[in-house]
Parts: sequence; C-alpha cells; structure tokens
Amino acid sequence: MGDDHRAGRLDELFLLARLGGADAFAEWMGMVELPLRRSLRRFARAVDVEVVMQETFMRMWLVASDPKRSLEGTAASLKFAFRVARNVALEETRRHRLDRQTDLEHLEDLQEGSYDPEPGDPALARAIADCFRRLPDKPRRALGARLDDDCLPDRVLAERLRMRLNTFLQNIVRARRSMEKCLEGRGVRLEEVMS
Amino acid sequence: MTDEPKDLLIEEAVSAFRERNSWGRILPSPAWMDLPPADREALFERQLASSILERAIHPSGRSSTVRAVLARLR
Repeated sequence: MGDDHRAGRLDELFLLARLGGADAFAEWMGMVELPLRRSLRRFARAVDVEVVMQETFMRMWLVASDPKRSLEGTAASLKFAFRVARNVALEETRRHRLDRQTDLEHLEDLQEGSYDPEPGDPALARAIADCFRRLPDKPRRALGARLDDDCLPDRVLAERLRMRLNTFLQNIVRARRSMEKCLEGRGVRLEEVMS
Repeated sequence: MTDEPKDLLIEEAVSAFRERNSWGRILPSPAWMDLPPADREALFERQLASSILERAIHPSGRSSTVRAVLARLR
C-alpha cells in the first residue's frame, strides 16, 4: 500500500471511529502507533512514554467521537495526534516538576507525521512469529501471557503461570534475548526495523 | 537466574498496564519512577521493540498498548 493509499485509509478509519467503531479506531491506532511512539523519543528521560501514548489515544478517541470536530486535509488525524502527543508529553513533563497543565490550544510547532514504513511486512511478521514459537517453554509462556491478556498487571499474569513475579520478569527478559538472537540469525536486526 | 536488577526493572516498566488515580488520570509505572534517566532511554527502545514483536505475534495484530486503550473504551 502506497503512502497516498495509507493516508486515505487512515482518514477513512478515523471517520469510521466517529460513527462509534471501536474496531476502526483500533486499526487507526495500529497504523499510527509506531510513528507516534518514535516521535516521543526525546521525552523518554522525562516522562513515561507509555502514559503519553495511552493518554493521546484516549484524547484522540474523544476527538473522533465529537461530531463538532472536523479534521481537514490528508492524514489530518495523524498530524493532530502528533500535536496531542507532544502536548501530553509536555503536560507530563511539567506535572513532574510543577504539577500544572498546559492548554491544548496553545500548541506551537507542528511536527509532521511519517507513516510506519512497513506496518504489514509479512516476511518480518513470519520471522518474528517463528522465532516466538521456537522459544523455550517458560520464556514463551511468560512473554505470551503479556500478549494474550488485556493488559493485566504482571503480578496477576505471574500468578496464573504459578511463577514468582521476579521469575516471570526474568523469563520475559530471556525471551527477548532469545528472540533477538533468533531474528539476527534470519538477518533481521530489530534496531533497523525500529529506526 | 542471574539477570541484572536493572533489566528486570526495565522489563517491569515495558508492560502496558498502568494504574489510574481516582480522577482517571493514567499514572506512570512505579518501575519507571525508579529508573535513572539513562535507563529510561533503554526502556524506550525496549518498548518500541516490544510493540513491533507484539503486532507480529498477537492474532489481532494489535500491540498491548492498543489493546489496553481498547479495553478502556469498551
């Protein structure tokens, strides 16, 4: 899918989300997640980026649900999401220091969005899935628990697997190392995919 | 098992689970609060890698961040 088609699909999904389509919004989030996350790299020392990501998506859902809001132009929803994410990151930065919020309307620089270049790269997905299947049992179950559950606390996931929390985390760390090694053996370097 | 405590702390913060306060504000992970700035950069890279892996492995193609938000919306 070319950039123009992807931008068109992005706008279409955001409109569908306006009609109450949570699945459409989920697909929209999937398309913008990586570029949005990458854009927050410079805030990584100051804020919990996961908080910024989730808060940004919650605010974008409110925008999508508001019939009075209209985002104009190609990939307007992505561009707006960049602005919201930047603002949320600034709010979080200030909260940790001054405990006050900024006004959403007082946005300055508009950071241009870039699309996730290979969101559906089937070869990469196959390599990752294959390496995951080849993990030793305990690391695979620990990492899989994070993937299969709707974001439950690690403590709960560890209990389900009858592991201590520390053991659960150790198994995930090992799973990641094994995945990295396996992918490198297939010529995939995650750092390159991430950049 | 002899992994460094730093690695485990970073891994704890990689989880997309976040508590909320009584006003609904999403709170930083306690593990993130305990990380020194340099390790927060390492966390950022691991979160990014984790999103890529999750999208490839999960049957829905959704990362845990997307699923966490979706769970809030439904």
